[in-house]
Amino acid sequence: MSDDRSGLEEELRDLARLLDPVPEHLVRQAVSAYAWHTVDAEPAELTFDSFAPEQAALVRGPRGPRLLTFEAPTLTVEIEITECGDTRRLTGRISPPRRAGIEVRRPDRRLHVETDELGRFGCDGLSAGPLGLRCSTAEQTVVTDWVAI
Amino acid sequence: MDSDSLSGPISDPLPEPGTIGGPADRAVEGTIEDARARAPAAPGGAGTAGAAAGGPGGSGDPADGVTEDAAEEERDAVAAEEPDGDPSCGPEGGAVSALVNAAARGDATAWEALVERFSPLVWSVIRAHRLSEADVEDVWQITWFRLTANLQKIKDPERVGSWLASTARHEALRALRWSRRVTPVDDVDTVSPWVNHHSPEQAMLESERAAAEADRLRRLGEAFERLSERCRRLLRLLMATPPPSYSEISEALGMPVGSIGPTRARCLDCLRRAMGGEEGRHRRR
Repeated sequence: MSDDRSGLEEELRDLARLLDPVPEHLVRQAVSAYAWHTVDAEPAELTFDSFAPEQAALVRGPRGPRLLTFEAPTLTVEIEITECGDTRRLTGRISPPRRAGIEVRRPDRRLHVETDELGRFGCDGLSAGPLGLRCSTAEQTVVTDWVAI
Repeated sequence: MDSDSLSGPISDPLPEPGTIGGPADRAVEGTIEDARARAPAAPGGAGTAGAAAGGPGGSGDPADGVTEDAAEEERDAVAAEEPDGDPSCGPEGGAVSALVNAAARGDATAWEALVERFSPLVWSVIRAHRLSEADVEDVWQITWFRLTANLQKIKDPERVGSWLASTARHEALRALRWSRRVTPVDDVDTVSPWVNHHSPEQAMLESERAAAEADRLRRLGEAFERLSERCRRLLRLLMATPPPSYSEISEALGMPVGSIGPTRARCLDCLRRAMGGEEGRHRRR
C-alpha cells in the first residue's frame, strides 16, 4: 500500500490535525473520567437496550419507556427510563432482590438512593446525558456500563 | 408520589415483573472478547464486524444502520486478502497492554497516556458519524467512562483501540437513531466541521505555512465534501493520528477487514479525481 495514495492520505491527516483536532476540553474530560474507575467493583455489562439500533426495527411509533438490562455474574440491574418533558424518570430493580445502596452517576455529580427489600429503586428529575449506576450490597459492589439517557 | 424522590425507594409500585428488561440473551454491546473474535474477519463474512448483537431476526447480519454498505462490503471481502502490516499485531510491542494493565491497577498516569494515545481514534470514529454537538459529547464521554469500568475485564488489552472503536461506533449509532435532541443536523457542519468553523488560511497563518499549501488543503477539504458518505466515513477515520489499525477501522465502521484496502483505494482515487477538476459538478447525495 505504499503507493501515491498514501501521500494523499497523509495530506488528509494534515487537514484533520490542523482543522479538526480533538477538542482540548474533551481530552480533559476523558482524563478526568478516570475518577470513575474503581478497582474493587464488578462491571455489569449492558445486555439489553430497547433503544439499541439493533432493536430499532421492532420499535415503531411513539417512544415508550426505554428498558435496559445490565448483567454481572451474580447481580442483574434492570432499569426503565421514562421521558417527562426535559427530564427523565428512572425506575429500577436489582435481582436477586435485596437491599442495596445505589449511586446514580452523572458526569458532574452523584445521587444516592436505596433499594427497598424487593430490590426496587428510582429517582426523578434527571437531565439528559450519560448515566451509570453503582450498586453496593452487603456482599459486593457492581458498576453498570454507562449509557446516554 | 412524594416529592422526596431522590432519597428513597419510590413509593408507587413498579411495573409487573416482565415489563422491565427484555430478552437478556441478546447482547447489545461489543465486548472485548467479541471485538477479538470478530477482528480477524474471515473471508466470506464469517467475521462480519457489525454483527455484535445479531439483527432483529437473530441472524447475525450486520443490520445496524449501514446495511447497504455492509452488504456491499461483504461482497468485496470475498475477494480481498488479509492486509499485512496491521499495527495491532504488535509494532507497539505490548506497550498498549502495559498501559491498560497499569490503569486497571490504579495508575492514573497510565490512564492519561491511554487517553492521549487513543483520543484521535475515538474522535475520528465519532466524526465519521453524523452527530449533533450534544451527542458528540455524550458518545465521547460514554466511550471513556465505559473503558474505566472495563479495564480489568479486557482479555486482550493490546486491542483496546478496537474495543474503543467498537464502543464509540455503537454509541454513535444509538445516538443517531434515538437522539434526544431533535434538531436536524447539517452534514457539512458535522462531517467536516472545518468548513464552517475554520478557514485553512487562518489556521495556516497560525502555523506559518505557505499560502499555496493552504490553498491545496482547502481544495482537498472541498473535494472531500463531494465524496460519497461511505468514502467520507472511511477517510475521516483514516485521518486519525496515528493512523488506525485495520481491526480498529473494522470495529469503527462495521466493515470487514478485507474490504478496507480496496475501499480505501477507491475512495482516495475518487478524491484525487474530485481535486483534479469537476468542481461542483456532482454534489454529493
